Amino acid sequence: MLSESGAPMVSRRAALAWFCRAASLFGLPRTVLAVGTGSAPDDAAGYGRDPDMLRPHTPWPLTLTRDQRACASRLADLLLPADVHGPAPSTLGFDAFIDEWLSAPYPAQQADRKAILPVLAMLDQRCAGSFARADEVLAARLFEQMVNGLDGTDPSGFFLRFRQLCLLGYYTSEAGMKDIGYVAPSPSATFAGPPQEVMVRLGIGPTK
Amino acid sequence: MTAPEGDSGAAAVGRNDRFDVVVVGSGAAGGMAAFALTRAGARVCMLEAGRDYDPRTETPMFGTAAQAPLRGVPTPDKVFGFYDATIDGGWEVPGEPYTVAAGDRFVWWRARMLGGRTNHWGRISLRYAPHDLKPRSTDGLGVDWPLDYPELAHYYDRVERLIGVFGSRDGLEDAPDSPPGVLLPPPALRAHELYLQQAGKRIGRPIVAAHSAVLTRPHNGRTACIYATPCLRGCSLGANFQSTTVLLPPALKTGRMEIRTRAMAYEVGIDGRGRASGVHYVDKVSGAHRFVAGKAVMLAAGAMESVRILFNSKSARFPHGIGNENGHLGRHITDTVGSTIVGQIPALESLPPHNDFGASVDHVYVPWWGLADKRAGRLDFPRGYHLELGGGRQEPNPFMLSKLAGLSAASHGVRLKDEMRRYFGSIVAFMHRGEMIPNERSYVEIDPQVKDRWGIPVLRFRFQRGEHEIRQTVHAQRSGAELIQAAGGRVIEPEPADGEASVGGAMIHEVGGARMGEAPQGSVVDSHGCVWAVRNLCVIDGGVFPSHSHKNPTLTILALAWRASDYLLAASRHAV
Repeated sequence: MLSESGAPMVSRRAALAWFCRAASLFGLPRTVLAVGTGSAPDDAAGYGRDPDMLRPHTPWPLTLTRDQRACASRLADLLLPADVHGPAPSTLGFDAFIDEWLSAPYPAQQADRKAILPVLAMLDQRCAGSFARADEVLAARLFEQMVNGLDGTDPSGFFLRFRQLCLLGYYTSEAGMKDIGYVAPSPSATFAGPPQEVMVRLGIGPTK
Repeated sequence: MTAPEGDSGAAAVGRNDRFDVVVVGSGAAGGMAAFALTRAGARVCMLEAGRDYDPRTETPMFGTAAQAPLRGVPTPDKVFGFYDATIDGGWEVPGEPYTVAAGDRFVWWRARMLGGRTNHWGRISLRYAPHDLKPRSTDGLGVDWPLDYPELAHYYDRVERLIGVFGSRDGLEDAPDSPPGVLLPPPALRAHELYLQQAGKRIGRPIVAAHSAVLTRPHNGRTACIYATPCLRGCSLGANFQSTTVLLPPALKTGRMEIRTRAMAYEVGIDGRGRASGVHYVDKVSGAHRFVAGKAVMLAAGAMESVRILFNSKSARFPHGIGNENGHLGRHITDTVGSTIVGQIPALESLPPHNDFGASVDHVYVPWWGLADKRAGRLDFPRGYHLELGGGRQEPNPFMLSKLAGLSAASHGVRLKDEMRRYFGSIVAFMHRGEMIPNERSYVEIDPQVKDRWGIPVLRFRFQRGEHEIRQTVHAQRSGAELIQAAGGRVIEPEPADGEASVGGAMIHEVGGARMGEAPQGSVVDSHGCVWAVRNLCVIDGGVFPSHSHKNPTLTILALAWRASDYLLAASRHAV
């Protein structure tokens, strides 16, 4: 309950990470993306208790390696594959999302990092160094083993946790929200309630 | 919104001037007092422990989850999510600790910003009923309030007219009607609200329009809701109630108020006649200790913070703190009892996509329907509750997504995506909010050892729920399940088997500690919030509540603060 520490300060050391994000946002070639070390910095700071909510930014450095990002993206594509309703997570910047998440200095994200990165490394190991570049048969087989919790690949609830992150990353994207059927509101002078077809489906008569 | 902060904050009124009233706190109570006092001609100095904040320029109205760090999910820095209108606050405030006695559980939410917790609150604005003010006369527990409903109703009317509250007149004993024309029309109901309303009718559970401080049409020069942004972020348009958009701007416009932000009040000054002379505070920018003089002082720092100030106002005349002559200071604290029951309604599956956002706040609630059962002795707990209803096709968030995935028969792949679409919008949640009865084991005191970063002694909480609250929670959980089942649904969140209620403070409705009463022997303040022994010192926030109905306290805090301000103004014309 006691909290004598000072308010977290926004780190200014993350310029390189910001360049990464900017490069990703503006579609710069992947070759200009910085590649993390795979290690979490031990002195990264969160965004603090008074962040600029109008111009959000992430102050901590991104730390995943290119291979880790690619491995996570392929796994996400297997979990939530493209269909007629929406694209694959990898096309929506899932690698940037998972990197931001697993690099965050907060306890929950650090716990995810500990649970997820070893499994990504194991997948790469079983695919001669790169799960992302493994042929489809091998990748699918490993994925199925993971889903089924076989072969000791899910010792720490990895699958459920990684799935939750995939769901969050995907369904909070514009494409994912459209996929699930979320209709974002537009400013309006009134709120009309559900449309007639919904009222009919629910068997609800006209309201007062 | 104000002058520069800290030491450089001298504004329209000179720093060394003596004000008519020093108001500590800028939230519901402080804002209301400032509004009433300045418009009546009084010169006010307001002390706010947090930073300046202007919703008109700082509210992230249309920020998306994808634009926010970690998709906006809660973190230790922003406990209610990135966009929540809480600044420099949370369950813990760095450098401003509190303690909890061993074996007890209590959490204390604070916001260090102008407007305090009014910037992010849920906007639910329910009136106390006549019986809520007379609990001892009703069932023999607790104490009665030293005022009757008509005295409070007059101020409810004025507050609702001022801030704008939507709702309906339903003629319910537990939810007094506002006079005709006072409430704004409620918004249309969402699909799940309509469906559950029908189910409620079948089992005798009323589901009626919520009362919320959101403008459904232009009101008092403020624009109406645009039905597109979450109220918990605040509103740059001023279409919901925040002290910073509704109360403080008109008070400042009078030219009779100075706001000093980052000013941490810690002690009420007492003059040689035993009257309040002003307030000691720490300028958080410079660390300097300062004093602002006033002919009267109003404490509106938030119930627990105001109690802390009274405890720390020790002198030869008041060795145990001001208002503590009879040992009631810090006693009788409560927090709303809360629990949640989550269900899934098959009829709501796979509905055609449509905009379900509405006013972002609750459009309906289940008012307490058990008064007849109580009178007939059919309940095993004495005090009531209401149920708030969440659900609908809202923007995906981690809680919703985990529930949807949990419902799915598929663990991954296109089938999982199909299942997510199918179940989206079919999950509902009833949030139980109930009355807690003050008990001897729940109180707050000064920790004998711990001090904050400025050397100010901090609070130590002691808090225990009673048997009444546990049995009430069991009943509420069952009621929520019955409603879900009446709609053809099933409960998917296991009920707490033992009626486990929310941790103390978790509902952020902590009140009491400086309760009002008919006489000094059993209370800290009189019915107007004036401290018995220091008549020009008033407590006007939730600290004065002698009991705490299940209704959210903000509307009542506003009404009491306005009433206290009127009383102080009248008294000053005669005596000061």
